Parts: sequence; C-alpha cells; structure tokens
Amino acid sequence: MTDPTVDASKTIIFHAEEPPQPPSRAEVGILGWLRQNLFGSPSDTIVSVLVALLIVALTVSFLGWTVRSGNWFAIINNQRLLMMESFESIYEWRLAIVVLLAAFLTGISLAAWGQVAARLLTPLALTVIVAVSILPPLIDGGVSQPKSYFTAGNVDIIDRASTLTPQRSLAFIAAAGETVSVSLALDEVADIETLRDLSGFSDRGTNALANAANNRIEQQHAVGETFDSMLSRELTETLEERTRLNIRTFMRTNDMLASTHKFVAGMGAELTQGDVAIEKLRWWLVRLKEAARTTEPNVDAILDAAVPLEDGIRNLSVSRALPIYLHDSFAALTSATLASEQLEELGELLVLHLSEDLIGKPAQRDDEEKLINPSAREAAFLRDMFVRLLTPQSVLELYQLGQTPMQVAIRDARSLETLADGVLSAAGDQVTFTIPRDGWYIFSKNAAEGHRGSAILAAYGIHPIIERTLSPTESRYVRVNDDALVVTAARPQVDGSNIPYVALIDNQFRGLRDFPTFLIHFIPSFFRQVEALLPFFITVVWGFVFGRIMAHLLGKQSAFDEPLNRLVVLAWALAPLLVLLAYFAIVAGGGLSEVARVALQLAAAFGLVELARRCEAWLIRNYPGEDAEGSLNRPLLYSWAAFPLVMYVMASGVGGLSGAALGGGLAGLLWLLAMRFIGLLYRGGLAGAALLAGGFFLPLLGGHIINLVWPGWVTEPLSSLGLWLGLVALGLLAGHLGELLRSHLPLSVKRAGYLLGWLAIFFTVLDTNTLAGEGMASLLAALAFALWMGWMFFGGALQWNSNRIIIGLLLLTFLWLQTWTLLDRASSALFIVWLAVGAYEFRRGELGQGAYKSRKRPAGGLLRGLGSSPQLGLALVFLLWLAALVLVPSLVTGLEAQGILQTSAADLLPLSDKRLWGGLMLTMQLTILGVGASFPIGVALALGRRSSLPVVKTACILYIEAVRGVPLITVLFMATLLVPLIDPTLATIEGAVRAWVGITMFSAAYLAENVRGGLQSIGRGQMEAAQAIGLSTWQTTLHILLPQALRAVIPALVGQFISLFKDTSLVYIVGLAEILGIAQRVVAQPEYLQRRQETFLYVAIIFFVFSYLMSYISRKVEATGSGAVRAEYL
Amino acid sequence: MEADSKQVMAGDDPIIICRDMNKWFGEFHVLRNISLEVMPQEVLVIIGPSGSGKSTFIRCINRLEEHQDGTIIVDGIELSHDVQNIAEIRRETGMVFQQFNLFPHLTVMDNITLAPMKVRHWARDKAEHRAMELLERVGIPEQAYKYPGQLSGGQQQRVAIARALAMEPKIMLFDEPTSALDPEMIKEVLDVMKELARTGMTMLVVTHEMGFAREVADRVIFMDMGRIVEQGPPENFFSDEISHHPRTQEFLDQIL
Repeated sequence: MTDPTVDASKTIIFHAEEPPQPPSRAEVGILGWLRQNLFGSPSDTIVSVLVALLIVALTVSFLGWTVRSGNWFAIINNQRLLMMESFESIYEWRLAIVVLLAAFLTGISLAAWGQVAARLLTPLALTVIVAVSILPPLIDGGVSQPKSYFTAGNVDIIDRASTLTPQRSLAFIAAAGETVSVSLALDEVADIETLRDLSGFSDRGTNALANAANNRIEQQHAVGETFDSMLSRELTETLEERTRLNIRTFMRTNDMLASTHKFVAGMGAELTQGDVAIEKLRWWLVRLKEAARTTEPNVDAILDAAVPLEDGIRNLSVSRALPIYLHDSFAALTSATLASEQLEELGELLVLHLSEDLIGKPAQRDDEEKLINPSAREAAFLRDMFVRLLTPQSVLELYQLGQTPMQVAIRDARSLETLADGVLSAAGDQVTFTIPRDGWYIFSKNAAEGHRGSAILAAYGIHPIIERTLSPTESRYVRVNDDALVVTAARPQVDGSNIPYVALIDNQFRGLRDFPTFLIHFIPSFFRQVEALLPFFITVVWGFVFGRIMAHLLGKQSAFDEPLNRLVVLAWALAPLLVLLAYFAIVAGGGLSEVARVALQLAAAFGLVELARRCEAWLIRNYPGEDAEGSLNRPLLYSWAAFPLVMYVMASGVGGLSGAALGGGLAGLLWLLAMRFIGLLYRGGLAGAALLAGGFFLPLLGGHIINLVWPGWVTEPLSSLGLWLGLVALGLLAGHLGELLRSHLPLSVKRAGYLLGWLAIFFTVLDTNTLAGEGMASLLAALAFALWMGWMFFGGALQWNSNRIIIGLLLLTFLWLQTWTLLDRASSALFIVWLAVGAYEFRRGELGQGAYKSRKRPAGGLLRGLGSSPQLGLALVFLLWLAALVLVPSLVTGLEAQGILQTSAADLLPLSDKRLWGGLMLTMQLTILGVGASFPIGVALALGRRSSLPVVKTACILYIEAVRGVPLITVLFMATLLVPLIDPTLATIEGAVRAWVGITMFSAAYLAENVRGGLQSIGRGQMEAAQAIGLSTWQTTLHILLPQALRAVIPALVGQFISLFKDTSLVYIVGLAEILGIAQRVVAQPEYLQRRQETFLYVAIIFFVFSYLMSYISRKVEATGSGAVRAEYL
Repeated sequence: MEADSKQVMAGDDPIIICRDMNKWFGEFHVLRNISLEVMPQEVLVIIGPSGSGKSTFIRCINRLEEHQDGTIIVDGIELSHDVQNIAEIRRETGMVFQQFNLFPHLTVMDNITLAPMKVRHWARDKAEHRAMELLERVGIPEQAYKYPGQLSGGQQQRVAIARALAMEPKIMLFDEPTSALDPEMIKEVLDVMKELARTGMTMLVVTHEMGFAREVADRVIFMDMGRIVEQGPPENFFSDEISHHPRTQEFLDQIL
C-alpha cells in the first residue's frame, strides 16, 4: 500500500540490508562438483551411473581374482630375477648406491618441482613406513597359515593314466619356535563337494582326488543336463516315435549295446593277456561304431575315442597282437563305452518304467502325452537314475578316505631321530611338535601297521619350498608362503639319496583362497620386500627436506645473517641422514625384538615427518622467499644430467680404474667444494693458488704421513709427484697468462698468444704420456684436455662458432670410436677431468663471476652463506681438508684393511659381467643411458642440420634420414649381428652395450627432428635481438635458442623418451632379457605355468609407473621458470 | 632547452659515417646511395613512408642487414665481413626493436645481465647492480624478477631499452619503438627516450612520433624510395615557411 502523503519521486528507497548469502551447500564443495560434473543433465546422470556400475563390476571381479586365485608367488619369489636377473650379488651395493642417489635427487626434485606431490609426500611416506612397520607383524600374529594337504597310505591313487604313490617321507624346512601339527583331514572328505572345495597347498595325490571329486560333480551336472535336453521336445519326439513304432527295436538296440560292452570287456581281458588279433579288432570297431550311431546319446565321444585306435592299427599286419603303445587308446575307448553300459541299464529301466504305462496300452493317446510330459515325480526319478548310472564311482568310496588309521612322525633331518609320532584314526587325533631350530625336518606318513588304505592329512607348519640355484653346487631353499625362511643347508639324505622335499611344483595351491589366506601369504612377504626399500623411501624424504631447506636458503640470504641459524639449518638438513644411519646401525647391531624394531621404525618415520614440517614452517615464517624453488632448478638439472654416467660406472664398474684414481677423483670433488669457499673468501690469485695446490697435495701428503705413523697402511700413495707439481704450475700459469692477455695486450698479440699458449699446453700434455697411457688414448685425452683448458682460459676471445664445435665433436667421436680402449684409461682420464674442472673452477673463483648462479641474492648458496663469515668458512675449509687428508688415502687403499667393503682397494669397482645383466635393471640402464646419450647427440644433430656448412649439414641429414628410415629392430639386429661381421673385434663388446648403442643411435635421430622443430618455432626477432646485444652465434644458440626450443618441445621429447623406455623390450629379440624377457622366463618356470596374468600385470604396472613418472616430471619441468607465464605470453 | 643541456662538440669526428651505401633485396633496390654522417651525442630522427628503407638503413648499421655497396664506419671501425669487427660494433651499438624481442625464457634481470656477463665478462654482482640502476632509470625496478610475459607492452619496451643500455653502448638504434604500443603506453617509452637523449646518447630513431622528433631531434631525415630526400633541424623541417621537396611536403601534409 502506498502512503498518499509521501511524494513517491522524493522518496529514497532503502533496500533492506540483506547480507550476501553464501552459495548453498549443494553448489560448492564435493556436492557441487558432483552435481556439475556427473549429474548435470539426465543423459549425464545415465552415463555416470553406467560408468560407475562398469567400474564397480570390473573392480569387484578384479579384486576377487586378486584375492582368491591370483598366484602372486610368481612375482614375490622371482623379485630378484625380475629386478636384476643374475647381476653379481657381491656388486649389489653399487646398484643400491645408484638407487639411493636417485632417491635423494627425487626428493630434492619433489621439493623444487612438485608442489602437489610435496603435500602428498609426507602422508604417503608416512603411510608406507607405518604399513611396513605394522602390517607384517600384525598379520603374522593375527592370521594363521592355512593347512597343507598330503596324501598318505599304501594304496596308489589313479590320476587319469598315471599312478601316484603317496610319499612315505618328505623333507621340509621350518623355523625355530614354529609348531608343526598333523591330523586327518576329515572335514574335507565329508563328501565330494567339500573334497572339491578343499583349499590349501596340496600334493599331487590330494589334487588328483579333489580333481576326481570335481569331475564327478561336473559329470553329474552334465549328465543331468543331457537328461534335461532329452526331455526337450525334439528328443522326446524321437523317443515317442521309437516307443510308438517299435519299442522292441529300442530293446534290441539295448541288447546290442549290452553285448557290445560285454564284448569290449572280454576283449579287454584278452588284451591284457597280450594276444588279440588286429583282424578281430577291426571287425569289432566297425560293429561298435554302427551300434553307437544308432543308439548312443554320446555317440561323438565314442567315435572320437575310436579314431586314434583306428589310425594306429590301419597299417598293421592283421594277424599280430595289439602293440603296447596302443593299449592306452584302447583303454580310452573302453571307458567311453562305459556310458553305453549304463545307458543299457537306463534303457531297461525306461522300458520297465514305460511298459507299465505304455506298452500295455500302446494305442492310447493319453499315455503318449504322458510320456511327452512326464510328471515332476517321474522326471525326478528318471533324472536321478540317469545321473547315478552315468557317473563314475565316488573317490570317497573308491579309496575309503579317512577310514584307515595313519601312522605319522616328524624326524630330525640329520640324525633321523623321531621327534614326535602317533597314529591318527579319529577326528581329534593329532601329532604336534614345536621346532627347536631353523632347518630341515622330515615328515613321515604311512598307513598304520596292518591296515590298507589312503587318507588325506592336514598339516600346519609344513609349507612348500622353492629351490634357488646359486651355482651348480650351491642352492638355497626358500619357503614360498612367507618368503622369509631361507635355508642354505643341503637337502637331507637317507641311505645316500636325497629325500624328496615339499617342492612347490608338487604342492601347488589348490582352490580359491579366502581373504585371511591372501593376507598371510602375500602381505607380509610383500611388505618385507618393501621394507628392503625403506632406506630409499627415507632417502626420498631426506632429499625432500634438504631440497626445501636449500630452496629457501638459496632464495633468501638473510637466513644466514645469524651464525647460529646456519648451524641449526645445517643440522636440520643433515638430521634425516643421521636418523637413517642411526637406524641402520641399530638394526644391523641386531638383538632387537620385533616390537622394538617396529617402534624404532615408527619413531624414525614420525620424527622425519615432524622434522620436515617444522623446518619448513620455520623457514617460511622467518624467511619468506618468492620462487625459492627456482634457484634449485639448475643444480638439479645438472645432477640429473650426470646421473646416467654415475649409473653406468656403478653398475658396470670401471676397468683398470685404480684405487688411486678413485681417491684422486674423490679428492678432486672435495677440493672443488673447497674452491667454492675460497672463491668467496679471497679473490686474490695467491689464495686460490694455495688452495689449488693444497687440494692436490694434501691427499698425497696425507698418504705419506699416514704411512709414517702406520707403515704400509696406505699401500698406493699417489705417484708422480713431480708431474702433478708441473701440472699445477701449468694451470696457474695459464690462468694468469689468460688474465694478462685479456686485459693488457692488443688483439693481434692476444691471438698469437692464445695460439701459442694452446699449443704449449697441447704438446706438454701430449708429451707426458703418463697422463693417459699410450697411443691413441693418450693423444685423445691430451687433445680433450687441451681443448678444455683452451676453452676455459681463452674461450671468450677465440671466435668459436657452432660449426667448428660440431666438427670438433664429430672428430672426437670418431677418435673415440677408434679407441675403445679409452675406457681402460679411465683412471688417467679421471685425473685429467679433475685437473680441467679444477682449472675451470679456479678461473671462476678467481674472476668471482658466474660461479655462483643466483637470481636475486648478492651472495648465494648455503656454502657461500657460510663462507660469508670468514672464521666459520675457514673452519669449514679446514675441516674439509682434514677430511680429504683422512678420507682419500683410506678410500684409496684402506678399505680392505678397514673392512668397510669386502673388495680389493686397488680394484674398488671391478667390471661386472654385462652378460649377466637383465630385468628391470637392464631396462632402466638402456633407458637412462639411452636418454642420457641420445639427448646431446640429438641436439648436436639438430644444430648440425641447421648449420650453414654443407658437409656438416649433409652428414646430419643423411644420418637422421637413414636411421629414421629403418625400424628399431633392424638397428638392433645390425648392432648385434652385423657389426661383428664388419669388425670381429667389436664382437667382444657385450650385447647390452651394443644394444645400448643401437637404441641411442635410433633415438638420437628422432630427438634431432623434435629439437629442430623447436628451433624452427623461434622467431627471427630472438636471433636478431641476441645479435644486437653482441652475443656470438654460439652464445645465441646456447643461451637463447636452445633453452626456448627445448622448452617448447618438452612434450615431444618426453614422448620420445617414453617410447624409448618401452622400446627397450625389443632387445629381447637379440637375446637380452630385460624385464619383459624375464617375465617370459618366469611364466615358463614349471611352478608358475599358466600364470601369465600376474607376471605380465606386474610388468605392466612397472612400465606404467615409470612412463607416468616421466610424463609427470615433464609437466613439472614445463611449469618451472618462464613456463609458469609462458601460456600468458604466447 | 634540451639543446642546452647537452653539448654537441663541433670538433669531434663523426661516430657513424655512411658513404654511398647501397642495398638490394634480390632485384629490389632498398637503399640507394645513402651518405650520412652522425656526430657523437646527436639525436637523429628518421621518418618516411612505409617501405622507404628507414628500418633497413638502421639495421645495416649493426649488421643485422648486410649492405652490398659503399662504406659504413662506426666508431672508427669499418663494417666488413670481419667477424671481429662486427662483434665490436655490436658491442658499441644498442638496438631497440618494434616488437621488443625480449627473451621470454629469462627474467627481466637475466635479459639485461646476459650480454654484459657473456660478452663483457662482468661479474654477476656488477651486472646485476648495473641492471638495477638501469631499471630504476626506466622506472620499473620492481619488475626485475618477473618474466617478460608478465609485463605490459610499455614496460617490455622499457626493459628492452635497459637491455640495450646495459652493454653501455655509444650508439642507440631505435626501430619504431612505439609502433606496437597502445597510445597510453607510448608516452612512457618516449619519456625514457627523451631522458636518454638529454644525457647525451647518440641516437638513431626510426619513428612516426612527430612530436618526439620536434622536441628531441637534432636532425630529422626524411627517406623515400631508399633515398635520403631531405634533412635538417626539426625547427626547419616542420616549418611551413621553408620550402620542402615536393615528396616531403606531401608526406608532411598527410601526417600533420
């Protein structure tokens, strides 16, 4: 109602202040998402529901199969084979180091690249650790192992054509404290259904009995169905017709069938005496078939059974006896006619039954109707008769299972002394024995004295065993059901011959598993295998924590203002390592109860997680850094790039790599770290020189000093002191000369100087052939060294362009291919690399530029931050030197003496036999090394193809097109078969290496084209801008074109890597067994025959996990740096 | 006013000398007998219709385009096929492009410090310090750690100017620096260029901004059909009282 006194035009209308309503609950959150995405429209709803049903159905059936019948022993017991085939077990620690390194890098990568994964990592790691700690003891304690079944007695069991005699004695292994108990399996033999459904490890006899029960049930079922179909319209009509027209014919055929069978029976008797004539047999066969055709419902079975016999006797002389080898065929035919005999009885019954109603009054229509539609009672009666007559006798009756008393005993395997025995005759009878110590025992069983019969025994604590052959004379025996008990003692013997043991192949798991059995069989053993991976999980977490901390520190210098902070942060970063070490020290120390072990693991897990959380929270609160992770990108990428090399060296070993070289390399590494410090502490050349010298000499000197105190402890002090002195001086001289040349002299003099300097280095190095051994390798190493030195010192001034470098690289590659022996010179090469890297570092340290890549920090990095306090820095440098002093010589020679590693110090990384490589290890090797090697080659080819030099360009195009025009298989065959034909010496290279080269060559060609695509996608403007600011062609390529090009083609590159990963399975064609090849081998093992699904599923999961990981990483890498804004920009 | 603040030294040698320069794109004669001398600290504005060869001309000066005939001497170094000479000339010459051409994969800071570190071998600290100074000069120090994709066109062009200046060039070449910008961003870029001119940088500017030419230029050059048709100080060039070449007049009538 409007108030008439108020002028409407002047009224200000206030809207009632309605607070904005939040969206209703049905529109946000999970509900909202469901509504929007799954149930948006009626058709959406239908599709969603259908898909959900499909998923549920598939999941349920898959889970059902997994739990009830999947034979996961095939995987669990073949894990080592699948992982590394027969890689020498003494070198396994080297693989472990590689995996630990990968885990550590993964942790840092997660910290830097995977925000979401980072949030998931902690709960995930926690779950794994908790599961590993809690589940196995929980299940071991809470669920009992199912029974195993064994037949016993003195009656043979007939299984189709063969005869199974129950073993009198069986050897088995058991662990101390376990209880073995044996009783009669009476519940299982209550009727044929329970016998059929028997579930557990069963020996061949039990299996045969259960199969027979199953057959009987199936036959009963099938016969019932036959009868049912006879009652169907068609057959009934036949019957009706027969009845009406001539029931006598029916009776006569019955007679004939009866006589047929009688004849067969008679024939069988003659046959067993061995003198039936073929002629007679032929006549009989004709008659039999004729009879069968006219009367038999199962005519096909009889005719089929007759075929082999007919074929067999076709060409035989008519008068001879049936040969022995045809007796089986004859027996088969006989059993086929058994049905005829029974049908005959049925016929009589039918006649009896029908004649009451029918024959007496054949003309009456009603009765015919009655026959066509028998009453339910009549049908049931007929069906029962039919079924009973047509199925074989029950095995329960046949063998009278469980009605004979059995004598069982447990005996010691060595002394054969009886530890427990008893007679089992009734349900409650049981022989129980507690195992005193791990090892072999003997299980004896037989019918009790004076009895004759069979029984199925149910045993607790006797489980199947598989034998793992280590060498022709050495085997170990592993209990299958828990994969935990391993016995190395030889099998027990009686009277000089081995007693049969409870082999898995003879004691397969029968029937469907229930869930507890699934748990007890697979979960503890699975988690025990996961537990072996626990160090890797912990290392991932450690790397993650370390990465987070480093990222924050690299992003913010202010964290280092307080010396205390530095120490605290450093301690936190290293704490997980200490936890890990402590854990293993305690566990390795032994004597821990299960509870303590679990408690320790849990404490370690929670401690780590808590540490990570607190540490990160503290850093974020106190030192917020934007894009902190970005600072980790470069060192991380470098680390991953170096990973393949580490992997190869660790897996294959290094031929001729002396301990001295290894020590030298490690010393170099330490020295490199020290250089990092000194570059910050002092800019002057003198300090750098001192450090350079110190880095070389301290380890040398250290060795001698240690020898003075403990004579002979260091047996191989680094030799050629004079040479090293000379080289150090040379490096210093070159560095200072470079400085001088750069700043003070005119260009022409500079150029002359560069050339002379380079030549001087080249010939000096060339002359000291001690550096790299003799011949070509020496020349090559010297060349590489000189190139590197020249590059380092004069690189800015010499006008390098990409073509020269490509030519140089091709030349080097050629030389390298010429001298495979280079690998043997690795020790020398390592020194050279050390020296060259040292020179590089030295120059960077001295120039104080670019060495500490950072985006927004005046001083960067943990080490540099520490170094910014001179006292602390000095103290650390001192400590490092001390470490070098002690560590290097002891690494060089002291290892054996110290007993840290059971290998000769002079040969710390001996070559492993690459012919033994296989499994996942080979797959990963081929993939990672293939990627690692083909990436630089591919990039070089792509650049070469765009080169302006016609020779380089043509060569690259030829290579790329030639390789792309050939299938990978051909390349592999060529690498494996053709190459040795070209040069027989190449045949000595192991197949794995040749396959690797083949894969690398192949992949490089495709990579080149991908990279070229990326290069072409970059606009001309970028090139012009780079030229305009004065970058050389090479710098433009390296800093402007390649980063953008590679970033643009990350999806294609990763696609290429993934396909390379999967293509490695092709090497099995050339006789290498990567994981798929091993899977083939696993499914060919007799124990796991016809168990293809489990193994291949497992392999598929492995392939999927790694492929997905690669594409996940690629997405993360794409989103780093400018990738975050890339889409916006383009 | 601007002319007062900088002192063009009459006695100096020219910093750029072009003599009888010719260039063809295939059959097309782009530049015809260009002869020009630019004095140090001079601001030269080049105008002309599209296709008149303005851009090609300044691109020849740092060898983004190769001239086929005649001589170009920059800061006493003759531009020839000698790679060393080209490199030295490029070190002395900064260039700003119409399309900015920043490196999208590097932050603003890395864009600016790349060349000083790689070409002049400066320490990173020094390069970053200098870069921050330059960013303050062009008015966007707060954008130092963003990627080019996150900046507006005007900001990007200012970064491009800072990048060119980071090499401490003696000569700056501007190739239509404001043509790809929205009107309100043009001003911020022009302001930076004016400020640069005041500090005495030798500048060659290809532009359509007549206001800028009038205010800042020491000399305006009109090019058409690959020839320098007319040149003179801006007060003369834009004056109606002085009689112009008919082609110049036609051009000026159209744009003014």
